[in-house]
Amino acid sequence: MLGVFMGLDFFLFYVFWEVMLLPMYFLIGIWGGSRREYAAIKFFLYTLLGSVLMLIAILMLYFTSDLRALSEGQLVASHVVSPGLDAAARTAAVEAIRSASAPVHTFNLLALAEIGQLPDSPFAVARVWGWSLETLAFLLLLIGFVIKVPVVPVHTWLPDAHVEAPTPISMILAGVLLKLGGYGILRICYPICPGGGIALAWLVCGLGVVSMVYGAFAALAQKDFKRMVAYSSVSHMGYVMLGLGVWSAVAGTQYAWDAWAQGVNGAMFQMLAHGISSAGMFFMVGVLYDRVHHRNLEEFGGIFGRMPVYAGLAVTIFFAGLGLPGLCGFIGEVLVTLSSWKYSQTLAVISAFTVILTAAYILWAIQRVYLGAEYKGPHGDHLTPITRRELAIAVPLVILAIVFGVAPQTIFRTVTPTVNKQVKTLAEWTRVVHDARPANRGAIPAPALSGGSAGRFPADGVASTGVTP
Amino acid sequence: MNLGSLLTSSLSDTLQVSLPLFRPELCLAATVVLLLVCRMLPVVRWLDSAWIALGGAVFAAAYAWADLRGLPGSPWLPAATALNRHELFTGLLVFDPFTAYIRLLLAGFLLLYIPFTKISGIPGREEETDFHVLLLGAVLGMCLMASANHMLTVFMAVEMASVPSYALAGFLKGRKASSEAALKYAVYGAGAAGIMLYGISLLVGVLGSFHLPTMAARLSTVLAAGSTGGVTTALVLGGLMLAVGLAFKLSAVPFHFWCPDVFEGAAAEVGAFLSVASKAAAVALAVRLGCTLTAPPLADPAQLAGLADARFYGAHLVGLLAALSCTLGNLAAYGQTNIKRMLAYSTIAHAGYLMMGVAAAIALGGTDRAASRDAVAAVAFYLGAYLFMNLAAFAIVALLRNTLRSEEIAAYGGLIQSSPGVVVAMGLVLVSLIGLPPLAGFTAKFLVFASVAQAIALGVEKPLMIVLLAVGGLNTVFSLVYYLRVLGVMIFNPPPADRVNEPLPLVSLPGAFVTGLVAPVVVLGVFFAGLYACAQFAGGFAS
Repeated sequence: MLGVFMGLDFFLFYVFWEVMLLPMYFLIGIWGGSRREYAAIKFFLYTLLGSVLMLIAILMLYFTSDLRALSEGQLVASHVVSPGLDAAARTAAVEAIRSASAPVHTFNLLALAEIGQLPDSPFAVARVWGWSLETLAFLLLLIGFVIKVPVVPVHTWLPDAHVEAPTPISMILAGVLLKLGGYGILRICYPICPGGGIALAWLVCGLGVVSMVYGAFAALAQKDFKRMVAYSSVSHMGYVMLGLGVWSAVAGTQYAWDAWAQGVNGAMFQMLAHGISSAGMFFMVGVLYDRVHHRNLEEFGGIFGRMPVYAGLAVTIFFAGLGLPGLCGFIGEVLVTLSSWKYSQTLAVISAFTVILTAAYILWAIQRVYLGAEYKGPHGDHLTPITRRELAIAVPLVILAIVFGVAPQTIFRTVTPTVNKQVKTLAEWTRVVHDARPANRGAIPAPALSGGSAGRFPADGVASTGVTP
Repeated sequence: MNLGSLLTSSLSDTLQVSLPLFRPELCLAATVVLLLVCRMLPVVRWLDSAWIALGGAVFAAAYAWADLRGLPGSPWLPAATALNRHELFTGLLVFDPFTAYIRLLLAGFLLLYIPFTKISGIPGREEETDFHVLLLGAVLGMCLMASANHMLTVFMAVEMASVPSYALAGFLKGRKASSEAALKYAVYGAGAAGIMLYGISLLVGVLGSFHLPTMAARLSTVLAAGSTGGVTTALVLGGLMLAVGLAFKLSAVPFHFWCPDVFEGAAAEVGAFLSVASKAAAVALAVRLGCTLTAPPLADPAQLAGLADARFYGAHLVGLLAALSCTLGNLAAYGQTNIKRMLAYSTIAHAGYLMMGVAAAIALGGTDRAASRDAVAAVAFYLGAYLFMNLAAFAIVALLRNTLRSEEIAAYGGLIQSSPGVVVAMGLVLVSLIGLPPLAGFTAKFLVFASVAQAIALGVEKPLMIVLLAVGGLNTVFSLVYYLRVLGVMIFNPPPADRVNEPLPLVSLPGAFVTGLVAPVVVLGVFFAGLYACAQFAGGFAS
């Protein structure tokens, strides 16, 4: 997983992406619950399908890429030509690439992004069955990544895998693995295929909102505590998708990069917050399951009386998942919802209303499990207070949930500069390159000034961090 | 030129050019004779024929290695000034980097295979000589398949490789299934050979030559002239029938029916031979015929342009067979309960992936010679990786059979508890067969898919190549389930009650052998540059 987050070479990225699968298969398959083999193979199948589509996109991008089109500055910036060389050697290396007789292909993600953002990008020119390559590659990569996220039509592996996996593996799945998808979309899809991103913004946002609502309703219907938490993951990751997909520049006449940056920052924050709250929720479910060996929501109750410390921590984490102001879940959701207003008011309204559904299933679960007069299920005598080892896991998660909720800058300080830089580059690209293409001209009434007036959307997490990229 | 000078020139050509480059085959032929002589003479009858065969294989491999190394332009001799193509025996055979590579692959296979049969105990002491004679004879035929340059040699080489294989399939004489397998294989093979011969005679009749480059040149003129209906029909039919013969050797769908039955009936050792060596030779012949007939070496642009229709036809024919084999092989493997039958369908599927590379090589031959070379290199690399993967898979199956007395997948339940080492080895092999990184199978599959993607990027036969890429990708997903199921049975299922203590300990001769076979699967997944350099060199034969 670390390799995936660090890889700047597309081939290496893919290798790490796949290497991750097999251990996961065995972790679920060996130590999982009763239907573990089914869940493990389902997880593996879905992810492999996604990664094969990704491989096809990688190969097509590779063979269409051509380093000769890049300038010296771009070649050095993307480390194709090592910046450590002295000026003469660097120029020689650049010359060698630029004067090559055949196209020089590359797997370098930074160079691919530079190529994808060229005015006459080969990805936009090449066509496959009437689709421009960047749209097709964006779609293939997107499918590969959203299976990991997961997003509604391809989410069905997640409840199975989460429910069958042992608690620590559920925590890894929710906390880290799901974020690979969002990371991939942000790091790979948008910079390399920006045109595809604009063309398919409706798809990304739509998928986000659909999984938000569907996940929330599905969570509401669950009888199994862990399944409910799993569906809440689907719902929460929908916000990530919506935040990533909001491409305000197309929606309005303004190239308002900061609205998009707000969405992307919100999505980044939501990924981290969800990593904490969801992992915490799975852990809390695991603590109960260890004691009473069932997860039926109907057969709990009165936990507050039997395990007060545990119940307090658990309720805090669940509130964080709910998105209560002051806890980590809130910041990401509000930023995403705000930014999506600019793209589509309908989507913004729906995503705001989803918060009510979220509140419904979480409060209802809290009511059925923790509140009430007495415990109704089997093995009641095993409900011992939380152990010190469990506390050592739960307390840091709760503390982080509160810290990130009260002081989101701790995350934004790190995240925002990178995100803003990428978003600003892409917004500028949209104005200068995308809308200048004949096919797109006229789609936007009046190309206006470039964005960057950071004061246009004041009083939100991004602007208040004070980071001016 | 009078008769005398003709004789002299052909004699000097044979002695000075042809025979020195024919040394690996001569070694194999001499070993076959030696094996038979040793069997007849009572004095040396005690000699173990496996060692004689192994000795012959060592010499053949050494000469093949020397030939590959000694060619100008090889990774060891970077001066590519001389022409890398020698026609041997007045054009019957051709010696070029591709011949050298495949021959080395086949000889290397023998070096691994003979110790394997020695360890696994089939053939028994009595039939050993027969087994090795048949084995070396078949490999000799396969070497000829790789270097054929003449339609007669093509047919003879295919027969020379096939006939011993029929006998090998029936080698377990007492078993009914084995005899049935042999009969089925022989009848099917005879039919396919007949059709192939008919196809060859049609092609040769229309084009007026047996010599492949000459045939390509004539084909170019015939096609460029805008031929009449009858000639085109004959050419199309001839090509189709030739493809039927090849598809039988490749066990490509729809000519694959013999494959699962033969693999199930014959010993696992014979399955290993058929799935690795026989397949490598058949793929080599497909590459050789496909590339030479549609984009002959040293062709001028006019000639290449004339062959555009032939490339279109060849690429679509091979591509169709590839897509069918891949899909049907993978889907049919789902229902199998016998591991050898499952592996048979897996080889059918892998033949499909290999043929995708061949289709790309044929299609790219006219537009971009470098890309075509890369496609052939991908196929050659795939064959190298496949050698270790599949030989290891069959070796594990055969060695487990010796202790478990069963080849059913269900019998492998709970192996992780009694011999974890072999489960890890089998796991690596199966995952490599799926094509997941960082194992050799992934690199091979990646290279093949890359050549297909390159054809798309260059706009060559775009619809076909897009379909092939999509089919190949989807099939990788299909194949996941049945490979992982074997692994799942080994790990997740409880062991049967009557399990012997440790079926295949890793610290033993069989265990060490399996480890030695699996190690390259891992190593080639990460350090693939060396083999790929050789494969690329081999792929340069057509340009």
